[in-house]
Amino acid sequence: MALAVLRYKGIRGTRQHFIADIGTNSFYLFKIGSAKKNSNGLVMIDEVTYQSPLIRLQRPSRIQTDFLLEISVQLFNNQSRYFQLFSFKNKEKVGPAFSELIQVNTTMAGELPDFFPNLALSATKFNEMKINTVGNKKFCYQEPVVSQAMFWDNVLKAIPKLLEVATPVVKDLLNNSDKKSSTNGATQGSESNAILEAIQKMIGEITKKEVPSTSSPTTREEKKSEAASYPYHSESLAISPAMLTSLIPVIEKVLSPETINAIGDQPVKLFKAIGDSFLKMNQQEMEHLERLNPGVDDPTILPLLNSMSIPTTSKPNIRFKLHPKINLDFVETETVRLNGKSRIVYRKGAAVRIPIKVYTNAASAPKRPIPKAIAHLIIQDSETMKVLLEKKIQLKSVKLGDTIYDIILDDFELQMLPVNKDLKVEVSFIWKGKKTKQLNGIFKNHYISLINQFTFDAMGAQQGVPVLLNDYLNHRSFWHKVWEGGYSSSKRWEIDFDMKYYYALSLEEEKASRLSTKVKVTKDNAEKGEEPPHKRRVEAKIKSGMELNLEILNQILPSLGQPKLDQEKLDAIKSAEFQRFFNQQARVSLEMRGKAGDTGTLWVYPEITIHQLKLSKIAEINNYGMVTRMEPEMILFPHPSAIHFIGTKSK
Amino acid sequence: MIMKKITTFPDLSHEFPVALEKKSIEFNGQVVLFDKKVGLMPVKLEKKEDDENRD
Repeated sequence: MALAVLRYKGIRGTRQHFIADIGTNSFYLFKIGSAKKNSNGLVMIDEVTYQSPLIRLQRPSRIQTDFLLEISVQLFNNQSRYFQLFSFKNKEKVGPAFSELIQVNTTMAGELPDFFPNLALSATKFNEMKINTVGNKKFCYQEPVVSQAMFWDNVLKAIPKLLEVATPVVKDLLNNSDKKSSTNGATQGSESNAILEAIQKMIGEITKKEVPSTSSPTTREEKKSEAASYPYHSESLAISPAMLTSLIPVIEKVLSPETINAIGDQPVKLFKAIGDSFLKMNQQEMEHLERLNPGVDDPTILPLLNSMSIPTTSKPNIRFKLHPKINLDFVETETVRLNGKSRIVYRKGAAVRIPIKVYTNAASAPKRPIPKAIAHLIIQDSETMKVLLEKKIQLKSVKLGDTIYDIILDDFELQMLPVNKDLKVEVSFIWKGKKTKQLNGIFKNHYISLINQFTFDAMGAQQGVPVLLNDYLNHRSFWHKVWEGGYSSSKRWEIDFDMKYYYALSLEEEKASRLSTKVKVTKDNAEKGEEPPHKRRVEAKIKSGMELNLEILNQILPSLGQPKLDQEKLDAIKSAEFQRFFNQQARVSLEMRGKAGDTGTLWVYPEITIHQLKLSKIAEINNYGMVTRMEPEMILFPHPSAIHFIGTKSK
Repeated sequence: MIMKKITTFPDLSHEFPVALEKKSIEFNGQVVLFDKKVGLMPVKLEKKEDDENRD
């Protein structure tokens, strides 16, 4: 099918990255423009500033139809920021298709506002810090809307219904698991234990998060009252231990034990994986499910997953009937310790292989090989569940019990995948039944990470004393005027700010940005239409912040007496794990006051400490590109530790 | 107060606001009211993706 599908991946280095798919078309071109127009209900690019020549796509494989499109950032600017892909069957431009219009992020920095208008700056005083201009953007961060507690509350409420819907689907699978041979029992038992342990740990995590930090209850009444406030302790227990136990075979069927190790202590990710697997089962078995649950109004699992705040992105699907007697396992896996967990880690940069085994414990297993089958590989972002890569591998003459080594990701495909992130790997093994002629299948999930030579492992100790970035010329990138204002209608004025200031680390942005300030007045003694009070009293919530990137932090290292990191090590800490350590906030009450006509101003600058960061360096990899040994290496990097809020008013 | 370097703002976080106001320290043509130092705490942040976010 002729396609022109485009997914924007953001800026990497000096290039804008897109994943393009032109289906069966062979030629494409792209246009960059500064406007869009509506043409017969279709959004098309307009005021084109650049059009590429017609390009013939050299496909890396017949099966993989999408490809990476890298465009120089220099072709874009603040005006020319629209991008559209057009594809054609041949060079005569027959069979055209076009993508949706994409608005890209541009790297062109706006002019830095006059930061200190009253200060005469000497050109000789400017050092390299000034070169790293800082942009301005709207405040674009929030603390998670669905709190962990709310998430778990929803999960606990939804699990019984989820099981009610999903259990018929896996009923056959459960029966089958009972019939497993004793030789396999040990392995299955240890997997079950790992899953049970993970679930217990999860419940433990919930308990830890939910129980308030006040002194523990002493009387029976107090204990009873506390228990009643937590659904898993109360009499109206949303999920019983028996119900949890009944989850195990389902989880065991669709998640590898390594997954439990890698994300078992991250219950949110674990539940996303479980929810995603249930969704796939649901899709595969919709008809079966409707037949088994005629009383269920809406047999789909989507609303349930939505109620659990689990993302349900649509992903490519080959409809097959889940086979109850065939199992799929990821085999020959080796784990290394990274970020405090045992993980399956592959090195990015050369092709990697994901070996699987399809087997059965049934005594009546066919001895002859399956003549034709497909391994359907889907790689998803473990946080958002967004599909990052899909691949279908044709397999021939597959003998049950033999290891399949045909699932290979080449360097080109690896380019589409991020490093230093948990990636959910779902492999479906699908074949056509000889007698029934219908597609049968089985699938399993696995978690892997891709890393470069160095990867961030853990935050180390603080080194030395905090350094104030109080040189408002050399450290001007870190200074932020967050508020300016006052009142002229009252003789005096006073504003009490409940202030939150955030430092957020962006892994994508090429330049740091001061975030705009959001002010919400919560109390004001001035009434509309009435005489202004003698003293205006206002209470307001105010939040602002700064989005930093690794480059700007790296640049201050020399001024703190440390050498800058090279690009390889800088790339290593470009990870969600490091970002998690880095993102911080300060909350403070501030009082600004003045006389009629006075202007108050609020400035912010940080104190920075140097921290040791532990990197892991790849020491050994096996033939599949799997990392089998890592070595530690320590580096030093700055980290904001405190904020100075400076209040000033006009003389 | 004489600053060590013309472009360095002194650490005034140990001064009480009332005392500070009396000293009439100026910054950017205005009188400094306070310098409040606050420690940073880890926070979980989500980015609100919005193409129109940029100014």
